[in-house]
Amino acid sequence: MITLTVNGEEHQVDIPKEVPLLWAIREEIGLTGTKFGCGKSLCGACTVHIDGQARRSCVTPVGVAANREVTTIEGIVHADGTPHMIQQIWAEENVAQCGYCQSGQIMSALALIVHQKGNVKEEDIDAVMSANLCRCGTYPRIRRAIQRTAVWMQSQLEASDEP
Amino acid sequence: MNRRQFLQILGVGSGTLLLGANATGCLGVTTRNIEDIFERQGVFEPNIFVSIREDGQIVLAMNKSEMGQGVMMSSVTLAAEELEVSRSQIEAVQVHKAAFGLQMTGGSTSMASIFIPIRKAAATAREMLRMAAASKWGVPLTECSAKEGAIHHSDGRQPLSYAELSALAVQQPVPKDPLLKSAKDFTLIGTPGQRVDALDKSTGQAVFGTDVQIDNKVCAYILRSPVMGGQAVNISFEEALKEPGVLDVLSYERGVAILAEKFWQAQRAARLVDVEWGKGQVEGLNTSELAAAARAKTMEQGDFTIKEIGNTDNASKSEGVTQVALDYAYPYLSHAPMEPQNCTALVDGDRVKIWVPTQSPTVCSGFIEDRLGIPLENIEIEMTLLGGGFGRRSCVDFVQDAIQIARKRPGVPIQVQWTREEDMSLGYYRPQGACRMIGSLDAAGEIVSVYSHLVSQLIFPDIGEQFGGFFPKVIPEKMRRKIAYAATGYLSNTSLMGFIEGGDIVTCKYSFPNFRYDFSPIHVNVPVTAWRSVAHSYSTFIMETFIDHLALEGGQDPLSVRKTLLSEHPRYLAVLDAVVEHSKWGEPIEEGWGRGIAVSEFARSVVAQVVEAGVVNDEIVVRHVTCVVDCGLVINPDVVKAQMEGAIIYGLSMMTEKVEFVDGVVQQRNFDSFPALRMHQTPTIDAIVLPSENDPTGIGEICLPPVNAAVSNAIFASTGVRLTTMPLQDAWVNRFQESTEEVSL
Repeated sequence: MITLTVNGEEHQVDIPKEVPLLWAIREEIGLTGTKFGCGKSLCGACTVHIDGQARRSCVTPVGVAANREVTTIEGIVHADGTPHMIQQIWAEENVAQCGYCQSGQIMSALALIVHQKGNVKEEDIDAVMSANLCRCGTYPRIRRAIQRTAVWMQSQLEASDEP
Repeated sequence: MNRRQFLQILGVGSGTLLLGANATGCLGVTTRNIEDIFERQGVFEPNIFVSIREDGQIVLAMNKSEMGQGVMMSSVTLAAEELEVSRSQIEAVQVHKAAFGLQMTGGSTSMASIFIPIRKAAATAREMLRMAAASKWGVPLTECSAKEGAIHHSDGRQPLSYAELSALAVQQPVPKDPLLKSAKDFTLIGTPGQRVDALDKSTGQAVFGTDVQIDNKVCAYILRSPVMGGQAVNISFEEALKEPGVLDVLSYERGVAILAEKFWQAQRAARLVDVEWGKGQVEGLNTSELAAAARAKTMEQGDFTIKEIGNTDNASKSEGVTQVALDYAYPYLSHAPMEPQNCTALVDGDRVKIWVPTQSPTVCSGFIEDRLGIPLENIEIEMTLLGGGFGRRSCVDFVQDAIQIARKRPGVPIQVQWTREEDMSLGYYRPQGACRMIGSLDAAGEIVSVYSHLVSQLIFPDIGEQFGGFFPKVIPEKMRRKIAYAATGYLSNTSLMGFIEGGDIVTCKYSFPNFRYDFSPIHVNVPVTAWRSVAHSYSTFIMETFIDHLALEGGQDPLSVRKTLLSEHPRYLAVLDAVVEHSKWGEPIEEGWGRGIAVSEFARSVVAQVVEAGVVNDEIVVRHVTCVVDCGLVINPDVVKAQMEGAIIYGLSMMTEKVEFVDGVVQQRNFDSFPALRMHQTPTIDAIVLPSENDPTGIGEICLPPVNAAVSNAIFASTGVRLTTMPLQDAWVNRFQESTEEVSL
């Protein structure tokens, strides 16, 4: 038995510790927003956060995630069901085409924006987001959505800094 | 059957595959049925597209598959426009309905084929609601108008909602030819908006084939022969059966399936299964040999002459005429949609249900009927969203996996999930081929003739197999298959072969005084099918680099040569003029960079592009693309722009992508060896749509064909090296090598 905390909820899963976290999330916990794309950390469709850092769940043994905070695309939605600002911006920019890779894109982008405290440069987007494939070719819109979310993040942080 | 009739049956013409059924004729549902349906289900359903529930919820039945191209948004927009509601008031569902006739999403035909039918369907409902209100109020119909989901009276009294009116609406006569809104009154068509599927696809809620949840489903992981098509000769799997969750290991036509409660259990148990494989279908195949043989063949006489204008032989032998030749080659390509193929099937007695992301439920049901002998009315197809299509999901090999395994476990839903390696190494592919282009220039540098000899595998070699379900249901089932097989035979035996494969070489509008296109087929058992933009994915590359080459060899400007040869085609001239206006074509550019131009037509839309590219550290870099299209009336401007960006990026991926066979084994098995374009390689893109009042034409593929040609032309401008082999990056790296090996075909 492995104790997994996913989106703030604790689960006991009966699964060998070397099985990829992706399958624990999809098949044991039943959250299907995280996608299987390549199985080899080449496409990023399976990206989740482990303790706030972007990780490819298709190559991360579930044992590695034990007793740590795992966050999926479903987990960044606010408790009242309102989508996270990055998800709203993603929708407003009409980023998604087929949509299959977008959970991974958003999780990679959010980790970048949070890590950079909203100060995201073009080179950061190139460096980090090149790990996430999109065959529909939504990259120009992903870039725009990240820039917008980064601006929002900066304003949030500035607001919270004010006395 | 003459050539023209045949092409009509296949729906092939003008370089596009007209796969969409025109459902205009399918709207006639009698009043009695409308009342019956209301009686039984409480739903006002005046036709096969639109229904309104008693609570006022409007449901739009889509006859097209949403694979990212935005057809859900467009379908909803068309219906909402005529129903006078907001897009959010309509719930769109993908459904398989016999009444839709042939359902196939492909060939960039959706908007052209649904533009009128969906609006008519919605207008029918609107008119019946107006009549219902007029009758309830006892006022003339002309005093009642639809607005914001209700019928309003001109005197300003309390409007009646569609929900309130639905019971009365079912009793109204169905208008034969409901008035459609005129373009000047459109409030949604042509206006940007958030896609109806945007939020679900940003929150992980969108359901793809792989996400289908069914009680008691069993998951299948399939082991495949290293050479595709091989079957198991010997299997040992006793140890695997002891693994947790594993239920069975079974051999079938297409591999060895490990069945377990969970996919991870099945996949994990694979290490304990040993399989000895029999011979595969492409045993010993080497694509390098195929390429050499194809190139050698291009030097010989073509097997079939498909198109001939004037006489290229005589023209090229005229006095003062010089000949210019280029040799082209292009590889097999995988579609590689982000969602690996999958299908879930339940076979229970003489009933089958499948859950599937498919471009064609019609082909799926026809295939199941054919293979399992189950009547069409007992086949239920639940369509999920498609995690990309690009032509790949018009095939049914993943359906075949699911039904063949499911029939061995009756009553149990079997979910087949392919890995990326299966998706990339089992086919289907865009065919490999080679082409020789020979042009003749007179002393003044004017083009006097163009000769083309294309050597390729047929794009649809097994139409009978694949597309038996294509033909209208009014034709008896046996006859349908017969026609399909006959058509295949017809294709294989006459000069019709090569028409589809020729793509832009056949359909381009250049007014060459002498022109000939010859075709020679390659017969090899590699599964191939349409790949985004079909033959245009290579033929536009060939035609648009060759025209550039001829222009420059003749000492002329590539743009003005194009405009002269296209002077009878105003739409072409308009996109060319606009792309020049919006780009820096003709302006100076810094050392190491160049601009290339290309123009094309697909699915009755025209496109022109100017690309800025150069070579940096031995790598082709594309930094900017200016793209102008004329795709008729635009339904959703932002969806159109997204398709332009997407097709350009998918096209630019071709600069590095290839699928090769070595001794029958596919070498590219995942995204490490099949390098699709990524964020940091993506150029800035200016996507410009010319205003048009013509009916909508295709947009999903049109922007792909010219892009590699424009890149190659830009690389020539910047380096003086003419790249004629795809992938272009390989061509650049190997630019000093010239294969002289001659192999007979």
